[in-house]
Parts: sequence; structure tokens; C-alpha cells
Amino acid sequence: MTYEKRVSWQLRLILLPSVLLLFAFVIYPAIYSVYLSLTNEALTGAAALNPRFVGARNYIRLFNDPKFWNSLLVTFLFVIGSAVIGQFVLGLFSAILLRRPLRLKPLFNSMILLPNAVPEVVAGFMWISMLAGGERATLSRIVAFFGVEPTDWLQTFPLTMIIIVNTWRGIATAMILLTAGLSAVSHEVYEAARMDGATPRQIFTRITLPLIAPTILLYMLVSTVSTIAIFGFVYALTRGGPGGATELISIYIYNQSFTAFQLGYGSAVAVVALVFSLAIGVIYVRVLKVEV
Amino acid sequence: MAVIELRNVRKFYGSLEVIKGVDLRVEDGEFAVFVGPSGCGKSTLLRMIAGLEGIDSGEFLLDGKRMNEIAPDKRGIAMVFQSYALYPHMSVAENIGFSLDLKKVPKPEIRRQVEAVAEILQLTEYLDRRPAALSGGQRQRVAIGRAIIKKPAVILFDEPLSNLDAALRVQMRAELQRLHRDIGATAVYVTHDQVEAMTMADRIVVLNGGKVAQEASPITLYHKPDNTFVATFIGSPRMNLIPVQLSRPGNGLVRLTSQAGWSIDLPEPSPALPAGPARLGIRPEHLKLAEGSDRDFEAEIAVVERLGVETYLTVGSLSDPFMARVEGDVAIRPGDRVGFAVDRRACHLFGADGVSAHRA
Repeated sequence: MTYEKRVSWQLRLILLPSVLLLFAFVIYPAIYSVYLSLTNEALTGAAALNPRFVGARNYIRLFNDPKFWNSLLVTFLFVIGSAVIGQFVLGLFSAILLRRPLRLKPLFNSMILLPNAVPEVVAGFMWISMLAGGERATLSRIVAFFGVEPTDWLQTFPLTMIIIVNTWRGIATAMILLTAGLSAVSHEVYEAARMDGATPRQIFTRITLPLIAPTILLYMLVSTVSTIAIFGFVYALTRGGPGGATELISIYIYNQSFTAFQLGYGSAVAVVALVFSLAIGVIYVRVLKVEV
Repeated sequence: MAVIELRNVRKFYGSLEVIKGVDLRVEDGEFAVFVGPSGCGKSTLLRMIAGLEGIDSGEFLLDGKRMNEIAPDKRGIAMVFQSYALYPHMSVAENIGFSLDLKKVPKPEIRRQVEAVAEILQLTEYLDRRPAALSGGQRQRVAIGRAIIKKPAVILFDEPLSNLDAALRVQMRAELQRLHRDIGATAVYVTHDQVEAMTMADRIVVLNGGKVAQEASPITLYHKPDNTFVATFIGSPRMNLIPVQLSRPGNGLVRLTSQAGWSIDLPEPSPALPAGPARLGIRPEHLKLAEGSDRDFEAEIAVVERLGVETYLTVGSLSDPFMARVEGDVAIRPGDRVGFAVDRRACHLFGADGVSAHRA
């Protein structure tokens, strides 16, 4: 066996565990979901005992289901609000600030990184104590100090609240990726721009942003796709309520599959969500030329 | 008109003083080169002139006007960076014209000026390319174009040739000199390469440990170094510094006796040195092969480096060697004992403190 062939086999062997895990826990379930979505599989009743092939019926039902469209709209607003705007803007701001010499820099770094280390459901319960319970909620007590009427935040501003919580959780990821992007820009390029007479605002818009654009788009791809899949802390906070106001596509899939026990229909929604995620990924990679 | 004056300029990083009171004057249109080993403060001093580093004490005057508090782009100074620092997302034309674009100069006027600069720098056919699609030499020219389009009174160069290969460096050296003659701006050029310094400078400023060790024309520095640092920094191969004992035999001359036992007599130095330890400075080319009564000493050859046009002979033990540079290809082999004559007119004498006391 030649050296190249031996190396090639060694590489395949190294990749094998990852491929097996991916197949067992991602590819096979995805294929099985496609199969389930074409049946009336359920967790209770006659369909649970004897599921039938129903063709595209679940998909036809889905496109006529206002709750499905609502979950798509909620997911869209959640992704735009938390990942594309909140996490990105604050992450970029933090990345730029924390690259400068700053007092208490390690403290600020820790404050930004810690939310990412908290488990999703723990974060959910933590924020329940912050937001739920009307005038007993921590946030209500804080704003009462400034003379603002206490309210039940998760009832009054449910979508805004989960956007804020997800922004809080995700700034670190944005900051780390964007810091890497900023580090790749030579310090001398900024100095050359200063010598050329660029103001700090012009340096940001005409040098920094164009140069880290590939990193920004990569971040957008990663954060969009991962935010579409968020489930745990939102479910812990609101269960998708009130009245579907925070029912993300992931929660809708769960509710249809394990609360309404309609596995077939839930799978159809999951397949559509997967197709959306793939389409977004393809748009980023092909149209916006993101280097992954 | 652009006369640069530095008056007792100092720079601290925390408690560490990196520029220790530099006084300097660069005349209008002069090509001054800051040279020195890594960490001597030459780039810091250049960046202080550019305005990219603050001046902690002392004054920087440009044509008599204090510049300490003036922003970099308001000083009338342009800079060419070591890494070129081109904007990678802009074309060559956009790179060169960026400063004019920031000043809101009309687009057709920018184009006209960019094309004129590109013509001078032979960049016309590359104007629409991105920097990544250019060679090192072309990138360097773009960086120079970006500097000269501002019509600066002063151009600063921070080791601009250090990323180029040897052949291109020689070519760019000549181009930079031609460009300097054409545009007539005062130039300050930083390098650690003494060949660049010697070939390009009207005046060399040798820096060591944040201070000016000596400033003079290249040839003056070569022939009349003020101290052992300059003596060994300028010239390649470096000047030999041979420890000697100085005594006065009473013939009006001073006698220098080496540790190997040979001695030579030189005229009394000025200022006079006390009897005792001193150092004799001899450039390798001033040690001649000699036989019989012409020779001053004989020594064993440790290493022979034959370059064809000349031969470098490393003389004495490898732990404490000195070098001779003889013309042509000589048939000497390591281990041979060879006689040398010292060219007394080219000898330098340094006191125990390293300060020059006698100049040939």
C-alpha cells in the first residue's frame, strides 16, 4: 500500500466515529422523520396501534394551519431580533471594546461569557424568577425602584422577553467569532487609515466592516440556523404561550408531537423546518459566498 | 519646506523609557535614515513623528511649528508601512485615492491624480486589481503611491523593503532614491539593514538603547565612528575590536600591545587616553597579508570563506576571533599561520569606556 493510500485510509478511520454518530443521531432520525411525516403515526388512539400511509396529507394540512404560519412568523422575528440584531450588534460592540486596553477587562469578559456556560433550562428558570410573578418578579422590583408599574413581563411582552434572554445568552458566541475576525485585520491598516485622514466612524464603516464581512456572514449563518433550533429555555420560560406568542417552530413541533400526540403531523412540521434551515444555509453559502 | 526638529524627545511605556531624550534635526529635502538594532527605538521615534505614538516629553517641530498635539493626518506627513498596510478590500486605484476620497475630492479629479501617480510608479495596468493579486514589489509601489498622492512635506518609511527578496530590494532601493529626488520631500527612513542605510541616506542616525549613538553622513560614520557601538554596527564584516594595553615607550607614540603579544605604535590620540586597557579598532579590509619584516604579527587561520572576488579570513581562536578581508582568491587553508600588517592610517582607538579617542 502506498503512503498516500495508507494516509487516506487512516483519515477515513479517524472520521468513522463522527460519521457513525452523525448517521445514528442526525441522518437516520431525519430520514425516519420524512417517513413519519407521510403517515398518521400518533402516540395514542387507533393510529398509534396501526399507523397508515397518508401521502402528502400532513403537508397539505400544515400549509392551511394558521398556527404553523404563526410559529414560522414568531421564529422569524425571534431569529431577526435576537441573533441577527441583538447578539450581533452587542457582540460586535463588545468585541471592539474589549480589544482595547480597558480597566476590569477580565470582569467584562466573564460577564459576557458566563451566560453561554449556563445550561439552557437553568437559564430558563433563572429568567422565570427574573420575569414571572407580577410584582414579585425581580425585574418588577428593579423597575419599581424607578417608579415604573410592575407587570407580568412574560404575559405583557412575551416575544420581546425571549428575544432579550436569547440575546443575553448569545452575545458571547458573536463576540468570540467577531473578535477572531477583527484580530485578522492588521493593526497597520488602521494606522494607515488614520494617516489618510479617516475619522473613527469612517474607519469603522469603510475599513472594519468590509474587512470582517466574511466573519459577519459566517456568524449570521451559524447563529440563524442554531437559533431556529432553540427550544429548551423558551419552553422552560413560556411553553410557547401566551396564546402562541412565543411558539417557535421547535416548540410547535414538540407541542404537536408530544402534547397533541400527532407524531406524523409533528414530523411534517420538522421536515419543513429542516428544509427552511437548509435553504437558509444554501443562500448564505452560495449567494452571499460565506466561507465555511 | 519641511525641516524636522526633535528636541529632547522622550517616550515611556509604563515605567520603561524607550526613547531617552533624542535631539535631532533633519533638513528640508534630506533623506535621513534611522538605523539600529531591534528594540533601539527607531520605529517608535518614526511613529512619534507620524503622530501614531504620543510624545511624553520634549518637542517635535515641523518648520518651527510644534506638532506634538496635531493629529497624524493634519501634519502633512505620509507614511509607508513595513507590511504595506494596503486596504485588502479596495482596488489599487481605491487604495491610492483613499485619502482624497475622504477629503471629498471630486471623483474625476481623484482618478486624474491616481493615474498620474500610477504612471510614475508603473502601476497603470494594475489599477483595477486588488492587493492580493499583486507581487510584493507592486504592493510596495502601491503603498508609496498612497503616500505621495497626498503631496506630503515629509515621507516616513518604516522598514519598507524588509518583506522583499534580495534582488527586488536592490531594485526598490534605487527606485526610492529616484522618487525622493523627483518629489523632493524630506524623507525619514527606518531600517535595521546598514547596507540600505549606507546606500540611500544623506545622513544616518544610529540609534542604540533609545538614544542617538551618532549622526553623520554614511562615509563619515564609516570612517569616524564616535564609539565602539557605531564602529561595529556600520560596516560589514564588522570592525574588529582587539583588546590592547596602552603604554607610552617615550618615542612620542603610544604602544598598543595585544593579549597575543604583538604590538604596534600609533600617534598620540586626541583626547589623550591613560595608560592601561583600551581597544584597537581595525576594519577587516585594513588587515593586509604580509611577509618578513612588513608583518606586524602572525596568527593561525581558523576559517576561510572564499567569495571569489575576495576572501574572508577568520583569525585566531573561534571564541575570540577577528576577521581579515583580502582581495581575490588566496590559497590559504584553515590551520595555516599567516603574517598580517596593520594599516596604521586606518586604525581606531577606543578607551575602556568605548568612546573613540583617535581617528585615522
